Amino acid sequence: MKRVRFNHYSLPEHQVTSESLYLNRRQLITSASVLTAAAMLPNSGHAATQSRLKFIKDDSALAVTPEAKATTYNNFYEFGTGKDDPADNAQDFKTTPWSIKVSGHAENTGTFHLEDILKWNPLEERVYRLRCVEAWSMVIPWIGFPLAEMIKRFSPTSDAKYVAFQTLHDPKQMPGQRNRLMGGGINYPYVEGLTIEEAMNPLTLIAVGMYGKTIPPQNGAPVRLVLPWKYGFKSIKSIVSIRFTSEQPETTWNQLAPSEYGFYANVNPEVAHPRWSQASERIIGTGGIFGQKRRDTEIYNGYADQVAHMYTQLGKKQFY
Amino acid sequence: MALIRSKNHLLVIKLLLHVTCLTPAVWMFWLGATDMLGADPVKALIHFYGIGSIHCLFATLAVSPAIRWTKTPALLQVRRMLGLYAAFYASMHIICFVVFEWQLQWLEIGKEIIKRPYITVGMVTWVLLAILSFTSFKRAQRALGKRWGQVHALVYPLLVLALVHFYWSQKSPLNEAILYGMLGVSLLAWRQNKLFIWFEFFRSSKHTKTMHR
Repeated sequence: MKRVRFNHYSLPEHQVTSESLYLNRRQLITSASVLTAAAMLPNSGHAATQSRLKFIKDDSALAVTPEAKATTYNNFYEFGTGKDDPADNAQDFKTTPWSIKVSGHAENTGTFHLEDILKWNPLEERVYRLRCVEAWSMVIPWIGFPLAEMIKRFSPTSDAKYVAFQTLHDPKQMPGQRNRLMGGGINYPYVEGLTIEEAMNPLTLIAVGMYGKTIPPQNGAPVRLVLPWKYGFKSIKSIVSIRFTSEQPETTWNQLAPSEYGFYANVNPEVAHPRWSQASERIIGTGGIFGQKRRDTEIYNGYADQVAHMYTQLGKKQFY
Repeated sequence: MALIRSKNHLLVIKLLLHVTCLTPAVWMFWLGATDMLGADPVKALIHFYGIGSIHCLFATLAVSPAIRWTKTPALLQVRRMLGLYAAFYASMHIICFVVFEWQLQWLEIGKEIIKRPYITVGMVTWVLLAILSFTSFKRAQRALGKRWGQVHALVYPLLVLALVHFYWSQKSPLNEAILYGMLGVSLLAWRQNKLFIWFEFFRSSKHTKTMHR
């Protein structure tokens, strides 16, 4: 079967950089920033080994965040609440063997090994904007496949109105789950959820890699969700369970502070977080404190064309 | 065991404190300017100066207990310096917020200060620090006379506001700000009978007015 690849997820760009130039620049940036990052990382001892992946390249011309920044600035409270904690504390995280338990309203349920799941679809690169609820943003070249392709294999029934996800719960490996102070006092395991329509949207990605390699532990190894039009916390990391439900599932941040983190959590410049504005964001890039750039936050993080149709019924407030 | 037995001892202690307070402040700024502070140098600097300011406040309020324990009254000579460093760190905290985080977009900054309660509290804290800094010198001490102590007792509510701002700025309910809060409360509990002296300032000012009439 011939695969036709639509470029429906690439954003219109004002400046298209030629690919060779872009790759070259990226190599320069990465090698330079790896050096500084290596100098900065407090003896991360034995960094987790990442292996190269084979994938269909994305020709997006978005300016990608330096890899060293994307892998040392993470919110992954299971490994500590500091931004550099995950990179420091997650290097020994065991990601093999890994399996995902599929349950709920679907015909094909059970436990699936990740290595088998990876045989189902060719891997493709998707360069997506990532917008954190904390008003900063990055651009990350993820590698994975559409969640929709995976869900089709499980044949959800008509009762499957929502999909619930769960992160691994393993206090032995995750210090934030052992110690409430270190884990920020949120409930574990971390849970997230989507409507079945959101889960089936072509933009929704199951990611197993970034920057050409397998995902490092601090970024949610070995398998995570990527939802570029929603705030980052919706893109749940280190997934061990997928459950098809008829009711809207609980989500961790919403349980903790319903007024601050809604179920939908779509990026929206007009709906402020109670403690800060979401109208603009700081770009995590290069150049230190004098090279900072801000940009105005876009509705749905710039992906309105692909996702806005799913929310015509929702009011602006409900939408967050 | 008195810590300070001569002018030289005092000078050495002052010099050490200057080095301790200034070196990290300058060094971190340099790292931030050269993109050596991780992925978000601005946040890193803002947090560093904010927490640094609270450290200096703790040190300032630890002077009195230290005098008591070490029986060294001369330590009082370093208290103003520590207080001024708290104000310096707080000012750097705000400069980073205004210049690097918000790129001098004053309208947005104004909106943030008004709309975000934790930032409002932070700004009030900084204004109090400014008042105490400008009235910390000999001339102001003389001008204020007996009431200087009342004005400078504002450092107690100021510490509470700083700690509330710190806790409130965190995303999750359990964080290190709680430990800071405990330490702050114990420093305040140590001098519980002094906590509301600043209140007298307003009381006695009314009082003096009626006297003059």
